[in-house]
Amino acid sequence: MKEEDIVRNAQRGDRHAYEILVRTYWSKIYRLAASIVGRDEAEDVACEVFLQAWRALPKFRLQSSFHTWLYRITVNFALRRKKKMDREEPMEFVEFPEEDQEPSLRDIEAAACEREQRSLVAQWVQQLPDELRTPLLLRFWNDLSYAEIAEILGIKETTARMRTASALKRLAVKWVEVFGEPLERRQSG
Amino acid sequence: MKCQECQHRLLEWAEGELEENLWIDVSEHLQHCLSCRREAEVLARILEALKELNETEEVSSPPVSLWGRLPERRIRAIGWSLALVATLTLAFAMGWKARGISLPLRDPNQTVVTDQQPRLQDRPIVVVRKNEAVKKNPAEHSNSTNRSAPPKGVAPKVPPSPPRPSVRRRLFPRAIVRESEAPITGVEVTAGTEWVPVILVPLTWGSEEQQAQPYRISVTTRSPASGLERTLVKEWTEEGNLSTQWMERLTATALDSPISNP
Repeated sequence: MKEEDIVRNAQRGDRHAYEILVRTYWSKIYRLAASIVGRDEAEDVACEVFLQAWRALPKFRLQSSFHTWLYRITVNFALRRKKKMDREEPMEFVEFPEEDQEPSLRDIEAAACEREQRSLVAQWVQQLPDELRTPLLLRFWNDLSYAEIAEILGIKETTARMRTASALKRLAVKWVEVFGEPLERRQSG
Repeated sequence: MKCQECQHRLLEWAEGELEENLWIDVSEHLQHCLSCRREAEVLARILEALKELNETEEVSSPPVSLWGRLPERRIRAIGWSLALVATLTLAFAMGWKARGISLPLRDPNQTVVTDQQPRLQDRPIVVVRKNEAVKKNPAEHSNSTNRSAPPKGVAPKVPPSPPRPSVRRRLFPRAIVRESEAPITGVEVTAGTEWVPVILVPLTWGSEEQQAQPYRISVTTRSPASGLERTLVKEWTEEGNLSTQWMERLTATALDSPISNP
């Protein structure tokens, strides 16, 4: 059965059809939510997103794809939740201490392992501002086109591209700060 | 290709979104430019880390509580509500109609014809008037009494319409049934030549806003001699002369006696 048919069934109140949609998109919505509000709140946000989507489904006209619509709800809801969280208790990001700004060779070698790299990249992604992080993750975690990202975020496609590139640029700067230039290391190593 | 343009297109190059010619240009530039090659490699590593991060991060299944929190779709509730309203409306309308159809709701007073009038064009004219048991106002009573015996050989005239009582307008007019207050005169019965007793049941019905305009008149004649019973039921007739076909049937007593020629 096509996704469109499943969506139509869910629109008519078929809970089984909606369960299929939830299971299909749960992990993507969860990750997107986690990228905005953090893992602690991700499950709650994802649940709320699917509840909102269920209530709003009869109004969904299928003019865009279901996942684009769902991501839009997720981004809007997660950003609202994050603002609320920030007002109540500002989110603390793990910042590198001053003395670690120029890590030692030993630290660099330790961080060279992929696991450490991933961990650091995850931290850096969290430190990005929302307007850069969201398009980046929609692009590389959710495999959406820039056109879809633009539709979800209500921005132009070129803006979506520029923000994604800008986010990557910031991550690259961090990367070079910590690991140095990759070719230099090879040459020096 | 210059470094600035190469770096501008590096993301598209890494994502494989460049057109073939541009992709070749960027690739050739990267082979010769160490600075751009470093940027490209950092970019590739970050994209790889992002991808791995997405793949390695374990995500639990949707919580079971989510299914219980999904409310019944409101549109269904609306649909059921609409269906209920439609059913009730239909039932109300049908009930109203049915009440009209199922008249009379109670045994009406009867008006018995006691006069036999001369024939008109070889047909008997039976003038009927109301039974005294039927309530009517004094003026109408005197009128109907005066008209109860029209002149010989003259067809009875159409009586004037009764005055309509003022009725307060209601959103859903209530069906009413009541005895006719109009003088029942001028009913022309194409009965047989012999004298027959006629039972007239005048009733009016309608809604409060349609007062007593139509008649439902049931006339039954029974010949004591032949046992032939004739019934006339005329619904929603205009006031005035009433002419219709008789429905005839033999009563039990008639079966025992020969039918006289009507």
